[in-house]
Amino acid sequence: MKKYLSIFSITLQEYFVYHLNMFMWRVRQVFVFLLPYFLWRAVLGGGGDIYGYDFGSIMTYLFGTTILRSLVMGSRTVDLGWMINSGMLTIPLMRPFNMFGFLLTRDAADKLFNLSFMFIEIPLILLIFRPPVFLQANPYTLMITMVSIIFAIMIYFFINIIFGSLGFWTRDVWAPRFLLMVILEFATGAMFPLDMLSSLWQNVLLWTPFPYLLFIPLRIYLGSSEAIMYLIGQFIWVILLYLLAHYVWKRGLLRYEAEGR
Amino acid sequence: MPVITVKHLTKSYQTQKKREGLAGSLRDLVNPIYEDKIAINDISFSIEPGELVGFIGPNGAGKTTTLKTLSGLLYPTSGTVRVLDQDPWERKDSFLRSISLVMGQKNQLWWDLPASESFSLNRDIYSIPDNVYKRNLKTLVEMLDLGSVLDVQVRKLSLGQRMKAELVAALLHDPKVLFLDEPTIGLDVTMQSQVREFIKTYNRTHDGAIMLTSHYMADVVELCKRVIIISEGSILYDGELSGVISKFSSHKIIEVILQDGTTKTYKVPRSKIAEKTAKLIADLPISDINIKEVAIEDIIRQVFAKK
Amino acid sequence: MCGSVGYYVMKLREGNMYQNKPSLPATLRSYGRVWLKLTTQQFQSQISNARGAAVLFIAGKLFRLSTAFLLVYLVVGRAKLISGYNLEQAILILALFNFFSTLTQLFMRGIYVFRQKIVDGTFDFYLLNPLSELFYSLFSFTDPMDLLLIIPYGGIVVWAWLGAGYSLTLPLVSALIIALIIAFIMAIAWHIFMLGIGIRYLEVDNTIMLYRDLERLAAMPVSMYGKWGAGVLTYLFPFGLMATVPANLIFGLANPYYLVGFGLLAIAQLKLSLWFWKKSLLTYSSASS
Repeated sequence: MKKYLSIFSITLQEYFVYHLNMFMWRVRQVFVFLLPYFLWRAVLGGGGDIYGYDFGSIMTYLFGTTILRSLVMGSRTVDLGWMINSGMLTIPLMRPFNMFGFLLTRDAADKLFNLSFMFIEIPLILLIFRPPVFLQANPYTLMITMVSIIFAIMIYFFINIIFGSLGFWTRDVWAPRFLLMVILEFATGAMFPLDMLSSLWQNVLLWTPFPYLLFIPLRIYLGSSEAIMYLIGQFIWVILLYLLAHYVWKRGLLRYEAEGR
Repeated sequence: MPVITVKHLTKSYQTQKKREGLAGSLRDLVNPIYEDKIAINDISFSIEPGELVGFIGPNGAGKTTTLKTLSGLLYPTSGTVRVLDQDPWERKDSFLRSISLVMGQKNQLWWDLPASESFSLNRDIYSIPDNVYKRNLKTLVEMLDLGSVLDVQVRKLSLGQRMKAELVAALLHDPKVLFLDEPTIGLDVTMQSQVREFIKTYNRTHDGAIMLTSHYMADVVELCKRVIIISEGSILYDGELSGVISKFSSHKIIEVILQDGTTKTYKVPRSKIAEKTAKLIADLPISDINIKEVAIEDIIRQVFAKK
Repeated sequence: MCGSVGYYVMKLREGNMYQNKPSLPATLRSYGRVWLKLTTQQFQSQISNARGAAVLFIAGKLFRLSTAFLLVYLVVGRAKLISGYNLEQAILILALFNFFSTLTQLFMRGIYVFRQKIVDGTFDFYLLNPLSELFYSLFSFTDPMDLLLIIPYGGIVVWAWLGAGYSLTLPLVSALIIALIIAFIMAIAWHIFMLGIGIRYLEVDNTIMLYRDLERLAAMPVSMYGKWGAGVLTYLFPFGLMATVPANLIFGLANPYYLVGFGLLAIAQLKLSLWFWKKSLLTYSSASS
């Protein structure tokens, strides 16, 4: 356990090496809020609703995705592909710890870092924009939201392992990564609530793992009646992606050793 | 008039000191500690046209920093630097067109393309007239015996061939002042001597000055009449290479060959040479005796070790 | 070894002929030639190494563009009006933004690898040769694939322009080109400013991303961000000039003579950023070997 604590601490320290970069990164976290906020204010600020969302509920949604994003999608595993390509993977591989555990520990450090900064940023956003926000009070709902967030974190972790493992087969890990990023931006519901789409498209998207990262946990938080169905869907994705990640990783590792780097 | 004049040059960098641990990182964020690292400390020298000066010192002595300041990459913290009667820092067009800096550990050639492509890029960059470019290229390629590899991808060249190609790229525009930072580093003995020979010829045929840093004493001994020894940012010695010996070497070496053919050597303080020689002749069955200077490599190694 | 001394002496005398500063057209020509050479070489290595990657990047970019249009369609389509613009006008603004921002970014790719170039010492070579170090730092690494995408992006602008019910006239097109040039100069000024930060702090990656985040705001009509927001995006940054200002010219909501003011502003910004760059360069400590 102690070794993972060490990894945890080292990962955090890395962030502090480049102050300016870190500062700008945090400023960006606030800035991503700007466009959607002003867009919806321009349309809904004067009252009324669109697709069943009024200004208050859309703000809760946006605010929720902003917070969930740094929890679910804050990750260090994105550089796995680069580690494989550059041969850096050899170092952690030679160490006496579980590789998935190592990667997960770094992710946890990243999430903690995000979370602690959010204590500054959230009040800041609230103060500047004063968005009307809905607070869930039902303890049961809060509890299953937590479960849903944990599932979401795992889904994202396994997706990262799978995409990172592409590095075992190709040197171009950034291109697929970029495509994934673009798809995630839309298909997780980060851009706008997915139930604004026609029900056909909604159903198509629900067959992919992406909405389960942000959209579904938020729906659960907002008190969806289908919460249990959503949780089951998430759980199935966790299992499927775990199996796939494990398989891809094992196969890739054979190639890594075969290359003898 | 000197080509290079350096007066009281000092260059220091500000670096941030890092505290240990996560808590340390947090404190660094709030209350950073800075410290000044002095790379060059008040050095002065000047170099006349046609000189080839060896610049030697241990790692981190400030050799590269000096060369970079002289070529206008770094801004002096204090003191004045004039190269070809210009302030290098202004990096005027006419200045940049008359100098070249070659760094043995860095690569200015395009890695994936043949060297000839990089040469023609340099022709465009320096807008070298066609006839001059062709003649210079021909001469340099002949001098360095590079003809056969001009169209081979740079990444596939051997280290020696690559260094030669770097030299061509750096000299196409006829620089008046040439800074060579470790031009022979990592090369095998034959390549080293070829590059050395080239530098010698180039110096003989050009008015400008050459400043050379090298880890290999052989480079300096063979090429430079004058050396500047620098350590921890200060100049320890500036003058004729031969003067290094008398200044720093307090000892000479007495080599005696005994009648049975074995050789013995003794390292003796200069003042005691006569005394010791007499004693040896009296004590031993000697067939021959030599009194030699300590090798310059050893002296310089000693000088740095003492520091 | 052939040490033809006499030949060298002769050559040295000739040397001075071109070591004088060349004329301006000659300088521009050599910049042009060098840029073309750098870009072709980039293209050569790209088609040999990363064909598949290029396809994925293009797919990603097109996907991102279509989701942006989808958002405008979903929101403005329902709401009918957004800060005074109807759906067709909002789509034209987005199309213009996409075209202009891609065009300005396209040439200034160098900033993304700037840190790397400082760390590995390549920046030393930028400083050492007679072409401007800013030229290398910004304009090398132009992505030929992006150059290709400009064509369909231009097509989308024309489609949105005609779709919004305005006619393509020569004076309007020329006004737009002028706006683009001014926006480009302002963008250069900002990039130089960021390079200066890069020299000082060796960290520029998130700064440039923040700049891009702000830029993305201009995909929507800037009046949406209130008086202050619109002012910052338009006068401080070049982003307003990339979409809303040219769109207003098309809609007849703005006077083309405003562009003169913007031109002066752009020049002032450029001067300021160059001054900052010079100051920053004083702190440059070349990567140690």
